Amino acid sequence: MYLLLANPEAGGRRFQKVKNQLLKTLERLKVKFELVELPNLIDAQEMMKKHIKTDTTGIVAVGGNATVNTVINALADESIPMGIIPVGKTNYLAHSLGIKGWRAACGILAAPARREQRLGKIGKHYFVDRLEILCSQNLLAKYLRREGPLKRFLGSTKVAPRQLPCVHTEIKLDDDLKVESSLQKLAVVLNNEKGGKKLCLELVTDGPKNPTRLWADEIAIEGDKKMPVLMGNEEVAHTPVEIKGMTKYIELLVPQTSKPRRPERRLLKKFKKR
Amino acid sequence: MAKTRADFADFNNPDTIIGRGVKVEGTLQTAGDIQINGEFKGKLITEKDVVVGEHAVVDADINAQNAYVSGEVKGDINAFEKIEILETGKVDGNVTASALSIESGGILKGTSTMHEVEAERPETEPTYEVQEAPAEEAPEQDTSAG
Repeated sequence: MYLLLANPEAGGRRFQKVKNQLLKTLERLKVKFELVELPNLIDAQEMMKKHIKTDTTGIVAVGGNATVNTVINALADESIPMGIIPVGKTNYLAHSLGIKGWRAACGILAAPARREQRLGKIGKHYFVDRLEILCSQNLLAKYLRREGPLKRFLGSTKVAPRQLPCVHTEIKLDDDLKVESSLQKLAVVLNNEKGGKKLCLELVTDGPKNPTRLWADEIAIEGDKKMPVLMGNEEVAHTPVEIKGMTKYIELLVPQTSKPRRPERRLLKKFKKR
Repeated sequence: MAKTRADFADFNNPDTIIGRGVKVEGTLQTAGDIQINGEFKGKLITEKDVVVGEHAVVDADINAQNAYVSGEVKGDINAFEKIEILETGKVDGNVTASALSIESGGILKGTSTMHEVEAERPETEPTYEVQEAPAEEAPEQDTSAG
């Protein structure tokens, strides 16, 4: 039986809109579950421990990025697999695992495959998959680069810089290496393979054709400006930060055909789309 | 300019890349390929290949399987197999390898030492036939006493 931890506030109360359909779909697929709504994500761990039973086969995060991050942190010290039903506006982990919408997620819970994903730690927070650090804090400049009503309304593109803004950043890797550069974007991707370094650091300095990729177990990042650290689109910290790759793994319920995506390609693809 | 192996696009997915505009200092030790297009200072150790790109500046000793140099290297290179200094490459240090090639325009300021592989090479038979010269009759010695 799955324990569904749902965030009723996720994605502008999107869960409330699909709740009946979602429960019916799970029943139709003969998925056994217990639904617990989390009015407050801070209490997720307590609620989980309160409702967990001997026949609980998995904990399922129903919501967006915030719900997923909360459940990952609650589950980090447990040995129960985690599933995801994305109903929020964005769910980076569901996207990364190839879970396309809540209907597909219900199907996965009926016949899941399992995959071990390495856990990382940033401050007190656990994370899986990846973290991103954006050097761009000027949201207006960010939106002006895109075609849209705001750009049409302002009528001029001269105010928008062609290049992404850069921040001079210093990074220490395992006390062995010191990296200095003006960065546009930075991603820390967890290496799920056992053996080897636990973290892959991808830096973008001036576009996709000039990447930097380095490996480490621990990374300390410091910039001239305070830069947000994002898990999905959820801001979890600011620079300066220390990020560690853990030896712990979390088991995720994934589609049968789900293949881990190559971390090094993803960041580059995003830039090519622009 | 013709693309060489040291161009980024031609080097198929190296594990570690240092991009242009990035400065790295310290000891970089890895089991995979390394591509350097930025600046590196310290020590480079890998079980695979090191590619120093055209705009790269490396101030380090390099230990690798193969080393391909299109940029500047100040330090010794020790390659288990091969060192290639390409036309824009410049090495200011001693190199040790089983094979060394320097393209026209490439610069090596230092000594080169080849790994001793001669002893391991199997002896091969000559492919041409050796014709033995007919033995000349030895002149008869005059043994008669005069």
